[in-house]
Amino acid sequence: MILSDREIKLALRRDFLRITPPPSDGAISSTSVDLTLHEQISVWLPHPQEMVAPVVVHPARPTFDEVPLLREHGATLLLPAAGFILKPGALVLGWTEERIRLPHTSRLAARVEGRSSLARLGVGVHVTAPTIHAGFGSLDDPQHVGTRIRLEIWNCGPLHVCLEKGMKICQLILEEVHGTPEKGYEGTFATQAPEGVPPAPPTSASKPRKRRR
Amino acid sequence: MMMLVVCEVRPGVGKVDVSVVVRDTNNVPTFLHLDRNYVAHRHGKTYLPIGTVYRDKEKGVALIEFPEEADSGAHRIWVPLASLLEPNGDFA
Repeated sequence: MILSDREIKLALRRDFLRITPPPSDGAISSTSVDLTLHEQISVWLPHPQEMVAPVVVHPARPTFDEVPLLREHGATLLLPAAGFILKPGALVLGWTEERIRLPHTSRLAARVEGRSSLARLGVGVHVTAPTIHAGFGSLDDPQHVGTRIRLEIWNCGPLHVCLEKGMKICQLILEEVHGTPEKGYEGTFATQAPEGVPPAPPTSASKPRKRRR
Repeated sequence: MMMLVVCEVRPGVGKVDVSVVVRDTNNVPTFLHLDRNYVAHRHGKTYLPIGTVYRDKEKGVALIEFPEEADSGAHRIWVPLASLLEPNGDFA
């Protein structure tokens, strides 16, 4: 069930959802909250010898580490006042200005989605990974404000699009979580188990619990 | 159930992020590129909030779930039970 603006405001007031800095009334539409672009972005740089020796990465290997790769083949910068031009075909990594906290006890999850105004220009904000799981950015520390959402911003349109600090870049859609997922407990993780450790059976945690709201 | 897993924290590429390393039961590192605000500090060590899917006290292992997909694509890994901490700072 997607939360309406009224339910979103209620969740914010009850601290079931924390957004820092808090959204203005104008940022909350009927079923979503607009989030804005933080000033830090990372860009992948073309390899100077791409034609001779293409860079091959192995993301499926456990030792894959994105940060050194970004250091070697990318650049991280702060958005200039005049903005950053996202060229056709380009991909940059960004962050939301807002930090999000979804305590797992609130039984809320969310999806980060693009904005239609940007979509019509060919600009997307994630690459098929929109889910913000229940518990996102959550610590028991009541002062913890949550964490920023990473964005993969790409331009598949023909125009040069200017990205500016603080622009509305995406929207957060809040959803109620019913029960605890159990799918995948048996098969998917069996191969990851250390030798001698059986696949995790469904536990009592998989039983639907009484809703708190 | 949310808990904390001990992790190494390395510099990210900017002021927002860090690279977090969590080691599994075979000491294989899994890397996550995260907002630095994810990291919690307890007993002089750094910890990452995670979900626990399954705990086997006899074998001393736990299946944990990351808050975000790791760089390798892993979402859940097995870790030593001793590497977990309750959010209030108690050992698992």
